[in-house]
Amino acid sequence: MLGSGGVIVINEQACIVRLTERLAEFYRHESCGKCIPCREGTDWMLKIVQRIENGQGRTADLDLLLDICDNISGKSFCPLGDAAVGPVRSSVERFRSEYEYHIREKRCLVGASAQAKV
Amino acid sequence: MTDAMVTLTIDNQEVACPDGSTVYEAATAAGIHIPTFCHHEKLTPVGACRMCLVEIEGVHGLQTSCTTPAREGMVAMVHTSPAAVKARKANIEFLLTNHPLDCPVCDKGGECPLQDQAMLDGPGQSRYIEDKRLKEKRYPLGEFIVLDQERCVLCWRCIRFLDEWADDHELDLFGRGADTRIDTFPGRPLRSKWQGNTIDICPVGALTSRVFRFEARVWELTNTPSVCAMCAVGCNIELGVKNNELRRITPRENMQVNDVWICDKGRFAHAFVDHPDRLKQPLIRHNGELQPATWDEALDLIARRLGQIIQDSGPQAIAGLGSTRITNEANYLFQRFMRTVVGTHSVDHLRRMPTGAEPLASLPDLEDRDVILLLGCDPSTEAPLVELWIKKAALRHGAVILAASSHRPELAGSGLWLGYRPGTEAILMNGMARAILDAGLERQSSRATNKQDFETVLDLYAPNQVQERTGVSAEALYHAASVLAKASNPIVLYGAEWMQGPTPDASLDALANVSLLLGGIDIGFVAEDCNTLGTLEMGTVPDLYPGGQSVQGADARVRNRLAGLWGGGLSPVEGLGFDGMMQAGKEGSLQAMWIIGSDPARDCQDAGSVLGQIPFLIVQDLFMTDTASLAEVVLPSASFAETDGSYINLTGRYQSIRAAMRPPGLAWPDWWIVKEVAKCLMSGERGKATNAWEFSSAADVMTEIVKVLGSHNTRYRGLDYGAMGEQGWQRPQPERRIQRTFAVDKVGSPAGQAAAPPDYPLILVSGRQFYDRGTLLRCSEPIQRVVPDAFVAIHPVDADSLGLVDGEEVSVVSASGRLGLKARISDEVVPGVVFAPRNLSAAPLSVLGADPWTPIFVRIVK
Repeated sequence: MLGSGGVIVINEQACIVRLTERLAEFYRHESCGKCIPCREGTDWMLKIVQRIENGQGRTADLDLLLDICDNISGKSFCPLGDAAVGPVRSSVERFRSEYEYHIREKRCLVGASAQAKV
Repeated sequence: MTDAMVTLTIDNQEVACPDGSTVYEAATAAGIHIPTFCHHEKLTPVGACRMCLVEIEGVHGLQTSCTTPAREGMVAMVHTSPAAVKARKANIEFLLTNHPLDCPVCDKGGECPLQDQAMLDGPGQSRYIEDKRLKEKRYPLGEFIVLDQERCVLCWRCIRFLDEWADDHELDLFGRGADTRIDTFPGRPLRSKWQGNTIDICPVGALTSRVFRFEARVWELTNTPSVCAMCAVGCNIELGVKNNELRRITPRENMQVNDVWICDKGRFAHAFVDHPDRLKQPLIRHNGELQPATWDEALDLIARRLGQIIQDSGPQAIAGLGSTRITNEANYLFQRFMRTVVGTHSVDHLRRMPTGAEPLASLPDLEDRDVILLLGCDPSTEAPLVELWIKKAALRHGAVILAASSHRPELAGSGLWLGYRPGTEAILMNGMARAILDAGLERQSSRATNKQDFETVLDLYAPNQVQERTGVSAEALYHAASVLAKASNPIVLYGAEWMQGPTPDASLDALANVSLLLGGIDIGFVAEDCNTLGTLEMGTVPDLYPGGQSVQGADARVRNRLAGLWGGGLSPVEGLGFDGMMQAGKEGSLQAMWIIGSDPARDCQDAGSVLGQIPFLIVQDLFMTDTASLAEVVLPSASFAETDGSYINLTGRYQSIRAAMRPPGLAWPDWWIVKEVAKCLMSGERGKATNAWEFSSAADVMTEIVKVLGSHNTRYRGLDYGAMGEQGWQRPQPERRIQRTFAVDKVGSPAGQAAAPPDYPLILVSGRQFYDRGTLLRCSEPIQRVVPDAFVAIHPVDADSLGLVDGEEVSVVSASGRLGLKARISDEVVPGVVFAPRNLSAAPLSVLGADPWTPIFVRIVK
């Protein structure tokens, strides 16, 4: 799948949780609502990531997110569901420690918000 | 779909299914359960809910079984695929995340596919701890349905039903993503007469009935299979009763009648059954007032008075009026009572099926028709389910609908409608025959011997002549004729309006001629009442015995057989029909009359004053009707929900109804009352053996009916309630008269018929509205809220010349009366014709003319 060919460059100062929240919000907004996994899954994923970003995350949320990703991926009517899974799954898998920091410390590991949230 | 079969493996089980089936259909047929929410066997698949995901060997990813065609050699895994099982469990979890889980207060609880599926396969505990989405929880979509958007799973079944079956595009999805919701268009509440069906197919409690809402938990209902009595279709239904109250009506599948659907009138208009105004005990007139009495008193009085009248004035001084709305059993016993106990053939009913009319042969068969011509027939209001079958033909197979009538039927829509002046039915049909001949479109097979004569008489029907008389443009008529003539499988449906002209025989002959000209195309009469056919078949008419044997023409064998069976001689004197009864009443020769389930005082002009003069009037009904209020004795009868019995629907299908509840107070089933009166009379002065009237159940009556019918048609043998079962018993089709010659003697000339009198330049036709203010519907509040105001439809041309504006109050004046109505300026009528629905206004239309089924000359004044 070639997608739109778009590339997003993110520097080290960006909070991965905050970034994932924005992407999850985008996909929740773009979901047409026809099929259940995408409609309900994108809504649920956003709510969880938002909660973590707001300092109310639980450790169990990370595996829950990955399971929701699994339950959307390949089950939706069109590839939007698969696309919505991408940022959530890869950010949890590759930046798990940042999520864990967020959950534990209730603030960002990096960036301006790291200060603001203290 | 071809006959070829494919074989595939589902869950290690070899399954054969017809080529073209989906994997879902193949699995379901093999007894392998696959849950679905969006899929419904009567709707096109959309693959939206993802509940039916299965794994298919060699195919990447899971597939929706509802949209995947079964192929030879395919290996599908439903319950044996861990991935598919997990996906379905996950889907249930997704659905429940935002579902309000308010099952304890949800009407669907107990019959809810989501509840069932969650119990079967769902997680016991939710991993969802976020706030639930809030949407509208009690959002009325119209007068009959309330939507809970939070419960809705967005399966689109309701939308698809209204689009694909009802052709009423009133619901849609609004918003998107998680904020999607079902809604109507702004300012346009649900109006479809089929909307109730969306409640049945809703897989959750999103759509609930405003009539049934919070009336009962569904497991508290006792459901009794029955048949709807609102029209002649006889839709199969279930009566849901709790504490002896009829709480809910739902459809029951019958592929020969109503598929799985019913109209909203049949579903929602049952309030009359439990209405406090129902007659609950016999009433006897004392000192001018009707006062409560016991059955013994009422029966004694009836037996004494009728016995006296028979002795003093003879049996011909007594007459009976049955009804197209009571059971076969009641009608049969009633005519037997009149013929043998009283000794007169003066028994009749109103709205008799026209002589010579052959009923429509089959409902599902309509789907295969490519052209459907409606003559003086508006199925949408007269027999609503017929509309659904016709729409199926039109929407699925592109059938063309043609209509010719004085008032445009709903189904004509934007299609071709020939609006003719009432009374010119035969002229129009002869014009059509001429058009077919002019275009050279007659079928080669129509080798009638007298075609030459027919062509000669049609010389008089020049296009301009027909146009002038009927008001139908020659161009439209010739176009319609060519569409009909070129059809490969057409059918003509005609209704009561087609037969209400001055020469119904000629209208029917003209129709038969057109049929012959086109090689014998099918024709079917669309009856109006739930037992129109049964009332005739049971012999509740002066001229026919049960089964249609002529009373006067019957040979001795028939008479002797019946006399033997009935235990009494049969009068040689000809009986009176309803008009004759009214005449006799006027002349004072009618001493007594017994009326069951009819309200001639309201429906027929002058009948009230005549009935008021009859010394001994017995009226048996559900309510204190205009006619009942004139009676000496009023007998309370059981409604269709409270009696066993049977009706014959518009295609000749015997269908049984069963008592789902006790009648109110002391009311009795109609057949039982007749039997009790007969026994009382027999044991009295006449002293005959009463065992001929021992019937302990409606089934006993049916046994005797079959004896009578079977005596001249062996194919009735074996008919009983068992044979009717829950799907009905199609009576033997009367042998179709194969017409070999054109009926030319009644063709006559299109000219020279009576024109409208100068003082009354317009012709008033009347017809039904789907919802009205008739005796039964009046009891239902939600229905009364959607009944339109009484109106008279006037063509814009006539309105202009009278200076009328839409909505203006006008008076409709005929030679015999005047009625105030609201003007509706509309092209649903042609110039020179006005239309007013029956049973809408406080005053009955019968104040304007002889009876509401005959066009009346009127004028409109401001």
